[in-house]
Amino acid sequence: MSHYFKLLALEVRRFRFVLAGMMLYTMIIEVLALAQQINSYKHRFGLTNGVTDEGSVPPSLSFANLIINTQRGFALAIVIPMAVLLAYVLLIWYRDWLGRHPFIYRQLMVPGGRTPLYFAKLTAFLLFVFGMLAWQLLLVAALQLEYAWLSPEWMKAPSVFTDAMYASRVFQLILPLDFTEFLINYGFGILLVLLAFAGILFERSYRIRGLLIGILYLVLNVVLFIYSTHAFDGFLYPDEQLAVCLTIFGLEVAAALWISLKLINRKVSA
Amino acid sequence: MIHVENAHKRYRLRKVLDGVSFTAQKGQITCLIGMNGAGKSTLLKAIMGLTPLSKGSIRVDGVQSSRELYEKVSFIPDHTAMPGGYRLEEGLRFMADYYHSWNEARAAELMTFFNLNEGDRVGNLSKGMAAKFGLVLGLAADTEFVLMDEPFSGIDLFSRELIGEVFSSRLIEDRGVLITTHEIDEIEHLLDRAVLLKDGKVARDIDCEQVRDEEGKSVLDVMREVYRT
Repeated sequence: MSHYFKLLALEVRRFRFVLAGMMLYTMIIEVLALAQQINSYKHRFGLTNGVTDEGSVPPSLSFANLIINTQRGFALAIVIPMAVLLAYVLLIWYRDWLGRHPFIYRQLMVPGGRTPLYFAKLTAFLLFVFGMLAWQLLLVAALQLEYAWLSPEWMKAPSVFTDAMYASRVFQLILPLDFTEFLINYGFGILLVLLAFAGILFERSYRIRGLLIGILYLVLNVVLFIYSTHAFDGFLYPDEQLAVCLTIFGLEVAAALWISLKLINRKVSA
Repeated sequence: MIHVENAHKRYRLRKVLDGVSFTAQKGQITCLIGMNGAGKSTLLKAIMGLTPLSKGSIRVDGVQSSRELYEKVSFIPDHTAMPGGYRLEEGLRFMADYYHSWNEARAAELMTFFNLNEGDRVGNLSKGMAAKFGLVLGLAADTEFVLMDEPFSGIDLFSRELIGEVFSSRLIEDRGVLITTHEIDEIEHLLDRAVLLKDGKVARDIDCEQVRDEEGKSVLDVMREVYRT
């Protein structure tokens, strides 16, 4: 167990600068995008002393509405870290095989078996994903403060935190407010990571043959899971359909873990 | 004792090992000799569980693939196997963190012996310095066996001499050493046994002392016989 925590700390330490860079990038883009949007709205009406030329006060703009108008900026802030994390599913493994001094030799030779290595990489990756998610939540709270600070009084309108989260399509994707939807999105995401890890270990064990097996394995599992969510429409009650999906999900997770641990302990080559 | 029995390994369609069997005893230096691609490194990796065999078995002190293997056997690959961004002190800390057999006093002694600076980064080391650091990582642990993969490859004369000194020092005493190399000049006089691989098989397995005394031949002479025919 202690080796697992040490390996986890090692994985986190090795990614810390990239993670910090992504957090900084997201913050800068979102803060700038919001500031630019506030500024552009403020100057849209050519105000003098807080009133338009016709003497009327322009309509207010709530924080949530401001986010609706800033879709592209928020997408840019979130999609790039998402892409980096997606690439890191591969890199977290392949990085150790690359370079002049492949580190995988040491990692595979850590006493006490290789199971802790697998789980350290898996947990580290999930920590990065949920760390970014938590950071995004903090940023939304900080952006609300930015809105309160930069917006003139006539522009301010009340809006609740959840409205802001619903306002952006990217936010809806990364943090669905419906808990079931959250579980489905992240459950499917974790399943994909497990399948990708198994695919990578197939490739690292059997090289070109393993690459084909890995891709086939991943595609078959994804197709089976998606198929199971629609296959019984009209035949089963919703609860029964959910049970089928959960069973397939559980079986695929268990199989991916079993295959990955077998491969890393018995077949993988440095 | 490390006992390799009937080891087979294929890379795609090529048979790299085709029924290799030999033993490496504790307290002896055993050298695996072979041309490039003869499967020497593959054998060392297989012993360390870093590549599976297609067929055959490997036992260390009678036990097949135990969790304690890495506390008992240390492996010095032909590269440092530490991230390039690591400082040497981080590499030493990594070893101390994971290995009960790690001997910090010996690690410090070896760092001084090889004149290595703990603040240097692994990625900035020359080939010779990297080989020396690899030796520190492999020899500082209190293991019963040490496996070394081409420790002299691409290294300058003085570094080779320094590494050669290690073989006659107390750092090696009482341990079993299994080494692969083409360049046996530096250590030929220290070898106890030599296993010559050819076409994936053991062509000769010799007791060096016996061959010297009874046949008046050096290991190099035996190599000529095997590889020139």
